[in-house]
Amino acid sequence: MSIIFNKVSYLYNQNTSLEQPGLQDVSFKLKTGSFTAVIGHTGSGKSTLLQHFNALLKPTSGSVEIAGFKIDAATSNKGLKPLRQQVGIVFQFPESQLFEETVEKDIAFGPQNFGLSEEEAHKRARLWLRRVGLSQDLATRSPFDLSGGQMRRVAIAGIMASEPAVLCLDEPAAGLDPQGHQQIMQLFKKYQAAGHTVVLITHDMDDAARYADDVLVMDHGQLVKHASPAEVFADPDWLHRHHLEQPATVAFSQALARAGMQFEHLPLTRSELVQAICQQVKGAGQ
Amino acid sequence: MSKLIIGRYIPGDGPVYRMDPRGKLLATFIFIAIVFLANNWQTYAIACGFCLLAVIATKLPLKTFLQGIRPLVWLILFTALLQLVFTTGGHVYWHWGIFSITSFGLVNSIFIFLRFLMVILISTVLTLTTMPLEIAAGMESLLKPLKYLHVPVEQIALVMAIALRFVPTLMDQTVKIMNAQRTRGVDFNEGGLIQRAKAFVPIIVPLFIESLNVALDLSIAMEARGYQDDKPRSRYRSLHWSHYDLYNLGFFVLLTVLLIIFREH
Repeated sequence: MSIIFNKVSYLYNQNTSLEQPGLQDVSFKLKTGSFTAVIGHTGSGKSTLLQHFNALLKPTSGSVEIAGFKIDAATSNKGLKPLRQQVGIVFQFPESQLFEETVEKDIAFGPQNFGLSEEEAHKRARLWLRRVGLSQDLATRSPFDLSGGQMRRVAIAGIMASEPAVLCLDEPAAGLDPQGHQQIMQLFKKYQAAGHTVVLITHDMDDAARYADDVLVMDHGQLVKHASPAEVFADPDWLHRHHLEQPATVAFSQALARAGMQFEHLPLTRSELVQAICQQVKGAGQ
Repeated sequence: MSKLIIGRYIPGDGPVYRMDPRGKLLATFIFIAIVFLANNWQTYAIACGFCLLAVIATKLPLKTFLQGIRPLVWLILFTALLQLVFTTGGHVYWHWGIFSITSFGLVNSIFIFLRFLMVILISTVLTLTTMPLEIAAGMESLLKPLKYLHVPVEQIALVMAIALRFVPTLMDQTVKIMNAQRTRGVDFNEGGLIQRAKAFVPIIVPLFIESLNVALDLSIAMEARGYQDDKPRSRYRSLHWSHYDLYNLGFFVLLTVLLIIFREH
């Protein structure tokens, strides 16, 4: 059950004088259970792309196949609930979606809408409250009494509690402290390991290199590259032309390579980099 | 929501864009007042002609204006229809109970229709070519004489400018929150009236909180930059009269004179 975008184009304000292209002829295929990073500079169409995953926006032309649904310009706005149960989206600054009296009720809101009984939904809510790293004491508090970071986690739990097969995230870690950032990213990686598909929009190239196994690069509403992180991040000039940068590990290893060190393959994570350097140093010592 | 043209600014470079907002506001008010001077075919034709000239002077495609009128077309037709069936006098073409179509009614409903259309067109010309903040600045300038009556004109204008400034922000926020709640399984298109009304709670609460947060942030930002409500402020964009405004006001004075000459006395 892979995700297929087939020549998807989207026009904002279609047939008005304010018409503007959002996406142009975007085609790709994502494997079930993959972790895909979507990168591109501000205004490149990443968020527009994301809204096509659960038919919040419908393609002006082309079609999207996802979770057994096929969405094109003619798809009705009714009966999309089963799709949205399958495809969860955590928007940028999702804390603005909180509204319930208590944290637990807010997290249970989604699952209950998707047909879980009140009891089951609340059980899920407590489970996900723990999984996003919050104390159970918070369950009965008002979400508006929490700190910004805690609100973010509650909002993320509110989507993940529905346990969608495809989880889409728009800059979920923006503005979190470094520890919170890492915890929340680990949570998504674990969710993928449990067999779910994860799509992550990010400006953080280190995150893309570290967690993703597939990268989509957007520029001016077009998909300019779809490849593995190692391939995407290898060419600093190409990235620069698309207003992007290399992850710290890649930049560091390429600097070392210029100084004479040799790498068999591009180290994407810090541990890969450390391992590669250790091997070299050991080899030189012998 | 994004399809609404009324109250929206579209950048352009027609002569109307170079006019001072005060002049445009005055001209709009003058037009809305003098449109009532028209009372026969000649005067309506003259008023329509002037209105079309104003539309042409924006250099915007006619399509944009038609889109602006579209949401109001039913209201205009309904008003014209009421006028048509309830006006009595003149030759009777059709009669049923209290309804009748008469020659007076027919003429009157066409006049009402045209008057409505012209008022909407002229206000659309103003809002399409003038940024909301310019309109607020223009209002402030025009209301200045009220200061002598101890009306806090500057504060009122500031409140207006802030309200106008945050309309698009709140619109965007509304769309964003609706999308987030749709993703959580809220369906705005299904269910009975009560269910649909209930579906709006998850939008209203976050929107309310967001507005309060925006207001708090704004007040802090204003204080940080030394805003005090009883001190006079300079402005970034000062208003200047130019020869374009002379044409603008001259145009409407000419229209007024023509309407007075040709109207039925």
